Amino acid sequence: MPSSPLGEFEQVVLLAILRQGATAFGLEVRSEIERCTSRTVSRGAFYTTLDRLEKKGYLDWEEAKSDDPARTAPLRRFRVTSAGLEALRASRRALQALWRGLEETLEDA
Amino acid sequence: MSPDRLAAPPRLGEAILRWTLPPGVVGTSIKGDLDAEHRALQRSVPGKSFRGWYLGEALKLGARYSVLGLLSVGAPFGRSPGARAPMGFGERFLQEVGHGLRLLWRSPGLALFAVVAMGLGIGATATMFSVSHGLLRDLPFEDPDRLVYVGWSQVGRGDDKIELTASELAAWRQTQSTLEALAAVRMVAVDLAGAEGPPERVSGAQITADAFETLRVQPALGRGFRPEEAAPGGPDVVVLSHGLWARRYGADPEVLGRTLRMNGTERTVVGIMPEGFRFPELEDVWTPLQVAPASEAPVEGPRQYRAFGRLRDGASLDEARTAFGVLARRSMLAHPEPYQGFTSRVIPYYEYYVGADAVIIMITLVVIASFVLLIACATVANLLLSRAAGRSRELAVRSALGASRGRIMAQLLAESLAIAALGGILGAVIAWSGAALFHRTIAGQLPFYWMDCRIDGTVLTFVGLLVVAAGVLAGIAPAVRVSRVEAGVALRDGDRGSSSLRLGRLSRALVVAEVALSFGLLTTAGMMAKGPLIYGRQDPGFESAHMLTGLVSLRRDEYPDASDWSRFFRELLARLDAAPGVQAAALTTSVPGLPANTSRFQLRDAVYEKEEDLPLTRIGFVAPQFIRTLGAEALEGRFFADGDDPDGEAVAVVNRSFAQRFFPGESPLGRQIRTGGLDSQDAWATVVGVVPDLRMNGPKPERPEGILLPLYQRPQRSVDLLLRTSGDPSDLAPLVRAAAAELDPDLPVSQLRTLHAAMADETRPELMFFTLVLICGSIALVLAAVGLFGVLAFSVRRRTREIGVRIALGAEVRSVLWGVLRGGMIQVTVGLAAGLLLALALAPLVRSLFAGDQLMDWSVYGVVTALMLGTGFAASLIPATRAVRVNPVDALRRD
Repeated sequence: MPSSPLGEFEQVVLLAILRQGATAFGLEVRSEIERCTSRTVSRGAFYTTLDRLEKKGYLDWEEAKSDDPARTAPLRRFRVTSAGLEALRASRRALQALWRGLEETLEDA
Repeated sequence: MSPDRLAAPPRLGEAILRWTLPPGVVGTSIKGDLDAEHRALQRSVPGKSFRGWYLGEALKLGARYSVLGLLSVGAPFGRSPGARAPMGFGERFLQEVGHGLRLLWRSPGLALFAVVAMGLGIGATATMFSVSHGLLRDLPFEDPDRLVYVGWSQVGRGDDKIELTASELAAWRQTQSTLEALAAVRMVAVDLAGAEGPPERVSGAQITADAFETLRVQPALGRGFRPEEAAPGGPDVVVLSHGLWARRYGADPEVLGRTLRMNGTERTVVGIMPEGFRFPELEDVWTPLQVAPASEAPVEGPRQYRAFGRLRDGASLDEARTAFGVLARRSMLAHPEPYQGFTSRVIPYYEYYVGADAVIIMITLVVIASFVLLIACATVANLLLSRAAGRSRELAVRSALGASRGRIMAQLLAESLAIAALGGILGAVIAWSGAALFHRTIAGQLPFYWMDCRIDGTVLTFVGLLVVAAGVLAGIAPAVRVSRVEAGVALRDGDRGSSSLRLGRLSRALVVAEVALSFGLLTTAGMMAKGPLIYGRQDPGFESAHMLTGLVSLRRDEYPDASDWSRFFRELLARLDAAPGVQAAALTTSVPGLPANTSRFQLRDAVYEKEEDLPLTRIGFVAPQFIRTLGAEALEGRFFADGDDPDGEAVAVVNRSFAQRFFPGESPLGRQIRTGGLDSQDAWATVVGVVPDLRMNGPKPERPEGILLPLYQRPQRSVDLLLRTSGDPSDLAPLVRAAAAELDPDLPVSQLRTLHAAMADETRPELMFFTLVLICGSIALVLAAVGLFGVLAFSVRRRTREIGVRIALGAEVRSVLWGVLRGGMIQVTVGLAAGLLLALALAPLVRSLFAGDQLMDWSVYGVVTALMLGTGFAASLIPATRAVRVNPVDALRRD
């Protein structure tokens, strides 16, 4: 059991990294979040959340180069660690337990 | 669109990111993402640069990361609710600051006023500080503390800057051992001949060959002096200042090795000093000081050699004092007579320039300005107090809900610190422009070249300290007061807040202090104004408009005899008189409105025992046209005529004050006076006329007595021209130069300016100081008035109910009005009484520093008292009328 539960935004970030897979660079992850959740993500909140998740050991990153020749700066390719996966699973379990029996009430109209 | 046509990110944005983002790949990848998005945006909307967008994003990122860095805690202020580490002190404090700032933001009027008040206070103090700091800064030499001045002081003469004779310098240079070398400098006027430009007079110095090395200053170009150049009969060489080199010789390096003619001698330029170097005061030209062997120099030569040196490694100031004491005793034993009361004097070189007086003036100014800051703090404290009273319920609730006293205090302190910080920014701007203005106004008149009144790191540090001090000072009283409140009392008290805070007395005390301080400041400004400024602007009793003055000094080697001087000046005057646009022209050694030389003199029928018994007076040598040119005339007897020459009877004219003081109740005509000391060789001159005072004492009212003597009877080498013109006097300046050049192409006319400008220059430093104090005083007055207004307005609001009840019960309008007014006027009156004590305590200091005895004037106190009573009344009137308009029904319905 991970030491501290995940916040909502932390879950969102970790899920978006998993969805991006091999192209989980900062810019791409952030666009993925914005696309899926239809809300704008503050750049500062995003990067500081990444830092925090890294500190908790839920993700790590490796340096990579972009295929786009215009992007000369180094990129960070993010990866969810096994601890991160475990934390996501725990969150999912908790949420599913809470959702159970409320499908009728909360189903989209 | 090709990628290379995209705009680069703004530099400022990149710099912000560089400063704030974490180092390494983390930072560069974050910036890389932003850059990529920036490019994508530009591609999506061609032709737009999105620089503003980039800057905004960079600022947001930067703000977040710098706050993170500041707190160095893991948790950001993100929306993520989970996993919050317990808050550290820093974070808690920042939270309170945020709360405080939000509260300020909600009452922008109060916030703006508090910030402006703080800004004025901090600005005034920082301006004074930067001016003082600029004037009192270190000498611009390596290890300035090791430089010492060597000279004499004389008991009982108050003259502690007696310099060395040539023979003392020569003897001491050889025998002293505590200094690396005993260097010396002697100031001389230098006339540059008209070759590269018009003939020009500049300030120069003869300087020993080892002086530059002693100061540790190397020429920027060329070299300094060699020992053989400083030996008698050595080659004629010269070193120029950077400024003169740039101005007159177009910064041409080829000037090295060329010869220039100055004071009639051809000298080879061997060096250019670095920019800014004008040692010892404001010199532009240096020539070698030739020190003759001690045995050849006369013992009683002029004391013109300012000696200085650098302490040898390991030698202390005390050792140097002892060593020079021995040398001095040796000189005194050899020749006791000229050394009556002399003691040798070795002081840090810096002290030679910046006397105790200057330090006291500067400290006074800083203290005066800090008064303003104190008043500003009191005003802000009052504002915070009254606001805290309005919020006492909120604070009580917070405290009841478990907010610690420390937290509530922190919030109030944070608020006042935030006000002080914003005020500090405003204050720094004020100080920056104030110091720049001061520098511009008196830069040319700064006595020493290294003085520089501008904002630097020290001043900014000082501003920072002021911000913290002012913030704490303004916040501590409200914070302590509020945090002590019992929650229950405050909740019962409701919006009125005052009884639980018991702040009435504190607020009133603050207003009293404000009134007292501003009274002290305004009376000081008034006393300064009474002196030279007001006197200097009264009708001087002569024509001062349309007048041009300029100084001509003949060189002794080219004009050896007094008859040459007279011939030259008569010829010059004739040419000027005939020039178009000149209505009248005269010669004088005493320009009216500027202080003339003083001299001792004797009355024929008086008996004087010793030199010190002789009275002093101003003295001027003038040509016959003098009085007519000034549009004045003799009050009694006659003025000089052309016949008053060396062949005629010795005559003099005295001014009215002289006649009244030395010949009270009788006519001075026919009496005889003689200028100079007891052993004077001058002829006894018969007084033939009395003239108006003519401001021979300059802009200050003290000692206006003066004697005029006929210039053609007693020719002088240095004479001022005085021209009355029909048009703008400055237009005639080229004409005057041309007239002098016709007679002698190498002769400069210096200090060419209008008489008005000359008189204004005399009082400029006083005007500057007066203006500074007046500005401080006015700020103080406004702040005090606003403070009073705030306290009364608050007290009316809090007593609305009580007033409503009284009105409902039939109280008369007049008594309600009077009740409020009386409260205000009592505070003003108590403040004035305290202020009077303060002003009386300051008065002797102000008098001794800025002017003479005539300044102690009750009219100043009267005017300031009336001004402050009027202001206090006006500040009380608005709250009072508001009280009268209280509608009893509404008032009772409240709460």
